[in-house]
Amino acid sequence: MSQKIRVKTWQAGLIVGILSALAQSVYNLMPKSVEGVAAYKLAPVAYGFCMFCHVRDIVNIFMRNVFSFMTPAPISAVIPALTIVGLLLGAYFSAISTKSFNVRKTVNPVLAFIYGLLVASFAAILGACPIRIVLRAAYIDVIAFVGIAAMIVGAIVASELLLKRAGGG
Amino acid sequence: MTLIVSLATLIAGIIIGYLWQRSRSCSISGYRDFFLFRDTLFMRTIIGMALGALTGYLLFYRFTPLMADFPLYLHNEPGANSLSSLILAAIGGLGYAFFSVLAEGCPLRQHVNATTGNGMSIFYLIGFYCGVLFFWLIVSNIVNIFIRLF
Repeated sequence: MSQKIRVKTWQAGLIVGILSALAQSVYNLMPKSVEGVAAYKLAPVAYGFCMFCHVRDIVNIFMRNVFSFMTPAPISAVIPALTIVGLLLGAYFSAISTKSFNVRKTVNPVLAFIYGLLVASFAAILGACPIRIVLRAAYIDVIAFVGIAAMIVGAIVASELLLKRAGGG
Repeated sequence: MTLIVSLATLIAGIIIGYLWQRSRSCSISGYRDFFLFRDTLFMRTIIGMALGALTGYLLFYRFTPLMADFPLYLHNEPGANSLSSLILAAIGGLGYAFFSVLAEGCPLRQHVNATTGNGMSIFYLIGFYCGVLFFWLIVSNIVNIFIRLF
């Protein structure tokens, strides 16, 4: 029965968008204020769902309770947002119900680790992840459009590099 | 009160994770496929997300004090639209997309792949979580020096 029901891409996107708007307005999910100035005066809030920001919040809470001398990020949520834990659980339930496990051997673990470090640093410089950039663009924010344009250029450059490396030799 | 909010975000995360795995979408492949191969399969996710968020904001912006100035949010606060924030956004976007396409996935896709047992995604996630600490220790000082210049 599960094989016949397949979620289309635009349906997934629509539900993610509405859920994040709901989470922000009904449950008042927002980053903490920065140096006394409320966060929504410097940039739009748009905090319903973001991979990098919620990961930073979880790491922050973990570090604050276990190693109390290191508290990484000055901006973190007023309320701990558990969306990442829910994401892993939901994906695991879906993989079990359709039996689509794909266990592959690790080709190059060190390279994957370095990619993770770099992507996290650039996401911190940008201040968002692709989902949050789209949410900020729905707020009609100028900086979000600049971020989307830069991401498009970066994606095209990386794809051309991969095509040259695979096709040229 | 905070317990109810945390549980609500957990349930929202479960729904989003289930949908994302069933539809096999990736948020950065949308731009790559559309501008190289004219393939609009993953671009529909991004457009659907923008439309859904816009609809949600239009419906709900009367209920919270946070979005009091929602329509046409052009911020006039001093220091909000300065040159340094534009440059930071441009640099961050370039580097993010470059390395994300090289590693074949955005972080959301890697979370979903790790639950199906892909070995590279698990190491990517370990690096992503350590990247928060790495940023705070090393990179943020460079960014602070950069901001003081402009």
